[in-house]
Amino acid sequence: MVEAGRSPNIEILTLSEVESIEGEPGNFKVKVKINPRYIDPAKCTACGDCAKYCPRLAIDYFNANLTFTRSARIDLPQAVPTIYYIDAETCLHLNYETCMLCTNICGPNAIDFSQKPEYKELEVGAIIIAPGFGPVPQEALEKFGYGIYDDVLTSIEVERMTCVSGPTEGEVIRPSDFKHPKKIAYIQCVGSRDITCDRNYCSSVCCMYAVKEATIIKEHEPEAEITLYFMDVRTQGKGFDEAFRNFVEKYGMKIVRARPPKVEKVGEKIALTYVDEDGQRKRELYDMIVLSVGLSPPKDAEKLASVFGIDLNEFRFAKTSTLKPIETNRPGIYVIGAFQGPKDIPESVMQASGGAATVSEILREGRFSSYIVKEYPPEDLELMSGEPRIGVFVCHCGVNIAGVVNVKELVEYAKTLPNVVHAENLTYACAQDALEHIKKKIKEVKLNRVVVSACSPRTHEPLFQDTVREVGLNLALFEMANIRDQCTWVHADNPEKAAEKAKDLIRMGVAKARRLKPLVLQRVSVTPTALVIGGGVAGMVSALSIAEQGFQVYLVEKEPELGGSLKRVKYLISGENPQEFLKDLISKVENHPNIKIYKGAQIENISGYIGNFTTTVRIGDTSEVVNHGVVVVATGGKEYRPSKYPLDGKKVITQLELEERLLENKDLDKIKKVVMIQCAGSRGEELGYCSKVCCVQALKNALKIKEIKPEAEVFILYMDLRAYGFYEKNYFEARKKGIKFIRFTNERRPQVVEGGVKVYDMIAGEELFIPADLVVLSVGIVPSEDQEAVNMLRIPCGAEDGFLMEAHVKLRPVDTATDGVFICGLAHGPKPLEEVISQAKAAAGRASIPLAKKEVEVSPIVAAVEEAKCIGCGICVELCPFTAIELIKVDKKRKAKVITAACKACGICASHCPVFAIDLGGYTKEAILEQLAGFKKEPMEKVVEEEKVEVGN
Amino acid sequence: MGNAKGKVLILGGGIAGIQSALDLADLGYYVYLVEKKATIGGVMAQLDKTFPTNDCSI
Amino acid sequence: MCTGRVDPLFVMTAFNNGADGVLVAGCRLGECKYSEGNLEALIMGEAVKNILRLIGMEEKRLRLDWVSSSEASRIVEIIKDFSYTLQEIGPLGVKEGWSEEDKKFYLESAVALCNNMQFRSAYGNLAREIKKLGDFSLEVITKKVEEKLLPSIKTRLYEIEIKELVKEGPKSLDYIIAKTKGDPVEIEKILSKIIKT
Repeated sequence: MVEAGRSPNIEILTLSEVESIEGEPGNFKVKVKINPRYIDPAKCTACGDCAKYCPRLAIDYFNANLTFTRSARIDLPQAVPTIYYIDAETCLHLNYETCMLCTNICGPNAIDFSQKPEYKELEVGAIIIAPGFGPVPQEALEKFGYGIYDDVLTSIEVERMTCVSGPTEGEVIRPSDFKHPKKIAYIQCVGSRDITCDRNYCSSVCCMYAVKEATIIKEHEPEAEITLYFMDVRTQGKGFDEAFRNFVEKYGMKIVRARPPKVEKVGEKIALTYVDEDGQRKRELYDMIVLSVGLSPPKDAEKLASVFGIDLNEFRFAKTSTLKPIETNRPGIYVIGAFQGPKDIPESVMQASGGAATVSEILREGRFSSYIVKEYPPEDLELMSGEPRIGVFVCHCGVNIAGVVNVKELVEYAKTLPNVVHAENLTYACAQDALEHIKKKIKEVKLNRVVVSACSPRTHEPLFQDTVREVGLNLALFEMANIRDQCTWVHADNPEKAAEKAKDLIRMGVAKARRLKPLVLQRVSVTPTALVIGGGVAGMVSALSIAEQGFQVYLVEKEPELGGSLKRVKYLISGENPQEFLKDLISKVENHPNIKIYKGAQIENISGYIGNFTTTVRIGDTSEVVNHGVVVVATGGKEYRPSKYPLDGKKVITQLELEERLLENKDLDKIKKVVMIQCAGSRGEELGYCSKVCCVQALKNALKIKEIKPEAEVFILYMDLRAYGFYEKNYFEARKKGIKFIRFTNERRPQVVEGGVKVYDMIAGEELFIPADLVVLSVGIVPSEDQEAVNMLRIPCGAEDGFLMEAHVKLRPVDTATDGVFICGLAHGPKPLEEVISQAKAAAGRASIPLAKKEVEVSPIVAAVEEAKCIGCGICVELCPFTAIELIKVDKKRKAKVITAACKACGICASHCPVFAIDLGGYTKEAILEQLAGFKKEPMEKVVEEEKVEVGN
Repeated sequence: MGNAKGKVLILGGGIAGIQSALDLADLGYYVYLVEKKATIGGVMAQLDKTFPTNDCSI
Repeated sequence: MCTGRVDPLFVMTAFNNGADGVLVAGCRLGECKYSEGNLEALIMGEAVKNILRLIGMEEKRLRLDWVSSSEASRIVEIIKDFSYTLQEIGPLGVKEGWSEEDKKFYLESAVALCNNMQFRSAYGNLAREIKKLGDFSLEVITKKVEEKLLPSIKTRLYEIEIKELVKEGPKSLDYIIAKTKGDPVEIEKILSKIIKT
């Protein structure tokens, strides 16, 4: 969020909507309406005084309408842009022409009621729509007593309650009496899987988030008893099943499989009536009911569709296809995130990166043509050399600081500190004119260190660093003393002590500044080629996208032919033809001028780091060495063969084997009774996890059987039928077509016996024998065995499942802990074709970033070894989480060396070096100890030593 | 105003829109991020923690 | 700055420069941006607590806590709670029963220890061993620090202290034992080693 706010190439237009679009890919004209904010962003310093004095209460939508805020406000303290706004719907002045208190109170005069809506015509080459999801319909909530009984809440409301910065400061309370509920029930599938409110799809995310919320409630309220009412537990995401199990066990949550049809109030409690799995009618009383609300299409879906000229599907989400998951029907307009279909965060992020890759393919000629590169003057080495000459700027921040402490007094104090050659106060140090003033002073007084004593570095440090760079100072020669957030805000009631503490903070800041050293801003050049390992769908889609974006790709496949696992998939539940797609994809890849394919090839060796990898590829007796800047690992997965079932390829087969038979119409006459067993070997039998695709695969094949032979009898035995997202409609169709579903539990799994399957039927309370002439096992997916490349790249794998681990489960789903190495496809975890394609595109997008930039910026904050001091003990090498330190031989002695491009600046090496030979730039031992010395009240000595500076931009 | 082929419009400043904007900017494009509300972040900014890592920041 | 960067030396220097308490606050465990920075800090905390114990300092003066950047009210609670704790304990040296001279002696010795190469090697090796084990549970850390690091802390700290005590001329064994608060047998061994060299 913050990163987007700071990028010079992202222009954020808030309070804005798209009015119309004309044109075609490469040349769209978009008319955007920008509604007034009534606060001038150039002047607002986010001090918050307007909100403090605004007399008008408004309902706080950000807190799920649970509390009040003011008309003049900011939604959250970390908001981007960090600018307040005036809510036109409630503001007294805008509605009744009264008040205007904020105009008088605002120090920088940022309030501007004369603002009018503004219209902009933007010219762009492509459009991505990501409007997210909308609220569930009111009637879906009312069905469960929401709006009728106070103590029936939505999961979003509870989400805000559990947030420590939310309306109840993290306390979960009953709205009716503000007491902590002791017995809570979660009802799942509210506004999902419900044809009565036109929601015949599954929202995919609620099962997992309900348990997350319940867990957080339990952390706050260990005494609370929580029951969750599920239809199916659909936690098919990577690692979700395990997390679900752990939390349910750890916190002793009760799981009931039922959708309570009746919610009523009984005294102070709410009663749920339901029929459990044994067919018993039950009634339970609760203090609070939470409705796990689903993801609906945006309220204005039709309007979006008409403005953008795109089609919606039957559920009013954007229409896409399995094989083109991010493309709308209108060329050049793409859709990502929940508007494409209900999905969780990692999948949204994957689609986002995939969307970026797709745009970068069609607009490759326009790359960098409208891009803004921020240029800085060369560093002023003469200025930076010599003894520290420190300038201290003390900010008033309106009344935020100056209202508590005497800023002038702080300035006078700063002047007494050694090495300080200039000190002054500024009303708003972050305002544009103040920044210009700071630059002027740096030049005038020849300041080579700047200390701004104001707010938290989190808000404005990058801005000030930018400012000092603009006049030739290295960004590391800047230091902030936080006298607002950590001083005047918290000690407003004790101005005397606050002043004393502010002085301490300034003194420590100055002390540290005296020892600040310039940091080297390094760039490493990037070989603009990619290596893609694996020639299945994931590898090919990824390779093709990178190639289409204009970069050379080496694609390595171990088999003699491209295609991977998809070769065995004969048709899709959507009706699309996977084999035609595969044929087309292979031909595009094989004929692409930017792709060089190595078939029947092995990776013999990979070395290097982002920008500069070298790989040896072995093809039979010959080998070839390729240089590349990035790696995409798409080594795939394969069908698991569970040992507990009598798989014989004849009467007991897997879904993939069935598919082959169905397509070839082999032995179909003999098929009269088919039993499919879900989770065969999965979810706690032999494999611990859910393979995500098998439920839909079973539905697909069952429906196919019914299509070919309507009289055939098909049973699906399952634990949870995970027909998530829009697959719910296929599940619905399957039931309508007479396919029979019987649920079993992990404890009592079905058994394949002579002539059929034995399964325990919970409603009947006894074991059933289902005669079958064909038993089909829905088996899981395991990673492929070829792990050499993975091992050489040191990509961590999940301890339980062996799938490749991403850098961050939510936010970096295709990156790995090693820069320049990306993952996608089944190697990362089981997933359906649609998600494989999105993820492969995402990996291509992420991998192309360094290739497009041609160089990678190495963060200036990195560790460095003082070779003379190093004793070569190797402690740092082993402790480094990023394998960014190696031992090298220098004059026959072992010495540590930091691979700067791989260093992430955690500093673990520095804090564990026996001889302080390794130090962390920006957080050097010297500077930190000096800052700590500044904690002493005794006067400091002036630093006089001459500093030699030899770094440039 | 630069070349239209070097610019992209993204509607929606939630997690998907933000990620796409960041990637496109990194890939060398100028991005307009159009958001209905006064701040970007979307629903994810409202979530206290996310599963299974339970961390917060976006 | 990651808590993994926090050197035992920084913590002891803060005490030596007049801090009555030191709070090391980092991201929630398991959420480290650098994957194991705060886990390493756990070991650091345990190591420093052992030093504090040996020099007779109230352990509660060092606190480690884990809080995510969105949990403003939690960090407020932690800081409030820590200030109350410190107010209860009082200024550094009082509860410890130290004279100004004692305070200087113990804190400077501890700082010297944190600068000592042998101690730091043992500390680094311990971190290496725990990382290999892959178990950063508090039980394992406590046990390993006691087994692998405490002996080195003791030897080096006593050595530093004894050298400081005898700097101004010979002192009686009883005096040295009383000052270092060490085990008499151990102290005698270290003392004789120092005399030899």
